[in-house]
Amino acid sequence: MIELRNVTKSYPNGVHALNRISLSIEDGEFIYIIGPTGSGKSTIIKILNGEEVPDSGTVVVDGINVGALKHRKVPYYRRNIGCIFQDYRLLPKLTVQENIAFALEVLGISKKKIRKRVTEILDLVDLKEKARAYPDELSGGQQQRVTIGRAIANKPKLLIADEPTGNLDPEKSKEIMELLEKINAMGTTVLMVTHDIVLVEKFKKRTVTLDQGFVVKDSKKGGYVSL
Amino acid sequence: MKRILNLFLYELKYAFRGIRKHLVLSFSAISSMAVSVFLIGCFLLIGIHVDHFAANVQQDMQIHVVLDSNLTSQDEIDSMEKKIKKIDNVETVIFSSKDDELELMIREKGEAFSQYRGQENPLSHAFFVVVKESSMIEETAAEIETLEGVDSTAFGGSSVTELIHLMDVVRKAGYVLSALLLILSLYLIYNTIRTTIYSRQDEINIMRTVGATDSFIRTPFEVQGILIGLLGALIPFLLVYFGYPILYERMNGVLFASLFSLIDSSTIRYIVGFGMLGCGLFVGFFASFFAVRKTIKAKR
Repeated sequence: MIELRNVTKSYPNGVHALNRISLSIEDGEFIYIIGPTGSGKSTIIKILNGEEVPDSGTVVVDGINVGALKHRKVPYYRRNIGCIFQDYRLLPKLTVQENIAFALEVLGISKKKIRKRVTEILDLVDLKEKARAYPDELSGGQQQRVTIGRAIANKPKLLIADEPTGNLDPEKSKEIMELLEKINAMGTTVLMVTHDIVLVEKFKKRTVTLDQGFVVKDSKKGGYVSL
Repeated sequence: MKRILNLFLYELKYAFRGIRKHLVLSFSAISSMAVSVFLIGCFLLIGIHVDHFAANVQQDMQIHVVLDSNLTSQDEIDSMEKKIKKIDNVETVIFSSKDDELELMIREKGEAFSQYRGQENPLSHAFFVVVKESSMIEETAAEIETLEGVDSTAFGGSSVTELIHLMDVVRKAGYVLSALLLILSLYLIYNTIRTTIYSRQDEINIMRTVGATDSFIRTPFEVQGILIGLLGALIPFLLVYFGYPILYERMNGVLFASLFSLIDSSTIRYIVGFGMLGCGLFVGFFASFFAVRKTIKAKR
């Protein structure tokens, strides 16, 4: 359960990224957040994963007031949410399986359990044969699947994706979408920021449209509606 | 408990991996550490030697206080001793009877004086006064000389006082220089380690987004810092450990004169050698501690 109440955020350069945004997302939902560049989409992600603190208003995820978290506590909060980024953000010096294992190692889980879980995930994201490859040896779509694998390794309740298909061609984008739907079907809430109109039309979900920091449309039916 | 052990093992794994994957940077950090620690070791070596020399010279520094020849009774001698002891800079006062004085004179000036042994001894009783602060010896001698019953005072002379003043200057300059050098090397190594950490700023940010705690990120860097510090200090340590005994043998244990005797090898190995290892460990740990802390705090 995610609850944003009157969230306002502006940056030091004077840009008002979010203006009194209120939004609530139920467990198990799949939701798109769309809008033109500068509409505040990425800021919502940054506020949800604790990277930015709202100027006013509250963000509550699973009963945790994200904005009030101390610097020290932020990593513990992040363990319950998986993050996927447009630029993948894999650790370059670690192989595919080590990257996925890293998210479990930080929890102090035993080697044996980690190995088991990593095998499961490699199976799920279909990267078994690339387990020992380094990120720079993979294509964009493969790297994105590693990121997804790492994000769900700890079985988070919420998966947030910041333009996960931004750097991929339509064929690979479809693959990623199907994977995200699969994860959603397993019970994980998925929140995806995108400006890929084709995807939003094709995989219809609840769609929230942002413009200049305001929610201008919240359509349960989904699909891209021109402003 | 098991979880903490697991975490620590993973942290160690990443510490060694960090060194292996950043060999060039680690190597440059180790070599700058080696140079700094070597310089610190040199100054330490010079510093404790000057101290040692100064102590040697000061040991020989005492004031010879000759009493008036009419001052003979034990009471008078005792009260004289008390008076001298009251003077600020006086450490110890040793009585030397006129017979002792004669023997001393015979030893120094020759057997010709032996004819004065017995009743004929023309000398007076005297004291040897050891001072606390040898650079003040001139003033103390003058003060003793003003006392009633003192005939004359003598000490090593102005050349000795000059030497002592010089040593004092060298010692103070040495301490200031080595303190400055320690700060400089701390800064140098802090910067080297900070550069290696800055080049991995992205990695650190990614680790945080995946849920790694600050200590999980920090510990590998700290372990690396300690290893770099120890490895860097090892080279100068070996130089001193095996090099100093050779130097000591070659110089026959002295520098120019027996007054400047060198400190024996085992003491130097212990103080300078382990001092340098300690320096490496300390500097390596704190440099990486501060550098990585700053980097982690950069983003929420």
